[in-house]
Amino acid sequence: MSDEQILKGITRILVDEFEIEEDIINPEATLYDELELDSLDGVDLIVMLENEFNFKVDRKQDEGTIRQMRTIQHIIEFIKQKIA
Amino acid sequence: MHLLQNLYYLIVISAVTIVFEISYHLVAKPLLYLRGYKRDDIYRIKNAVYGKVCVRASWPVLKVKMKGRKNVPKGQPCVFVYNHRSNVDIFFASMVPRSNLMVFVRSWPFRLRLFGWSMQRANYINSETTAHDELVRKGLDLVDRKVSFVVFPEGHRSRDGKLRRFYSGAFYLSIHTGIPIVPVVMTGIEKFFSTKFPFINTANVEIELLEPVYPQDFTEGQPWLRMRKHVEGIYRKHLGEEL
Repeated sequence: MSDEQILKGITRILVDEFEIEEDIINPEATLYDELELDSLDGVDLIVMLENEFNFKVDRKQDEGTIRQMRTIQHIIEFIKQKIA
Repeated sequence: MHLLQNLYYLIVISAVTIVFEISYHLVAKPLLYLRGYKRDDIYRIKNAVYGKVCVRASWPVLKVKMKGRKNVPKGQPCVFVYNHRSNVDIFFASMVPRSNLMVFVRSWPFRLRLFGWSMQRANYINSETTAHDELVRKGLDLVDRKVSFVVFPEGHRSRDGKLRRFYSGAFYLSIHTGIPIVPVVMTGIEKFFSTKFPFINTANVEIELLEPVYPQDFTEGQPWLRMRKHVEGIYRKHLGEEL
């Protein structure tokens, strides 16, 4: 799956579920400052990404990586790693 | 005229604050201690009563009309969610018919000199630093103590008057504690206070409590997200904004 396809899926979730304006969503956008997500949004987003891209987060193994995610690009890299 | 109005308002609120603080510490606080209230309960009640007194003392500069009190479920705590349009909205948080109110506040108000200290004493929830599991743990304890909650789910005040997107914290709390959400729609407040001169302006504020929304009606998937969207839809419909 290409970066563009993953970005499209993430964008759909952010627009439909979190009502974030599509024009501010890009790989460099920061999750907490620019997109103004909070920690609970972060948890909800991960659950939605699991369903969208059909992977499972290992809470113990992936917790550190998830905590360090700051931009959309970090999410794209994480998804690529999980579905590889 | 504006200068006189500002001066009048400053004098009235200062006088009300001094009289309130003295009578509260001499009379109400000891009585509440004797009735077995904990310190944080006492400060929450104090903040709520002070907010109500300030709003009422602001007449005739500020005229407030309350609607829909009958919509508040009797005998149980609730999560009151407010739309957020002004810097002084927190004073109006106390206008709901409950006095022991736990308010969700962002980090910066805790750093204010007097109000911040009072908020810390009341153990208000810092919405920026409280994790969702901690929120539920605190929430369950407070619901046991019959404490209600006030949340501004937009997080920041709206600067253009339009509703901002809602955050999920209030709805997550409702789902996990089983207490209803009461949407509170506030209009007209944005005219009252400005950070630039003239700071205080005459305003007619309407506060309407809408019918409660029960968490038991949302069960699938991440139910707090469904509940959030539902309540946001109620606001948009009520305020005439497109869905």
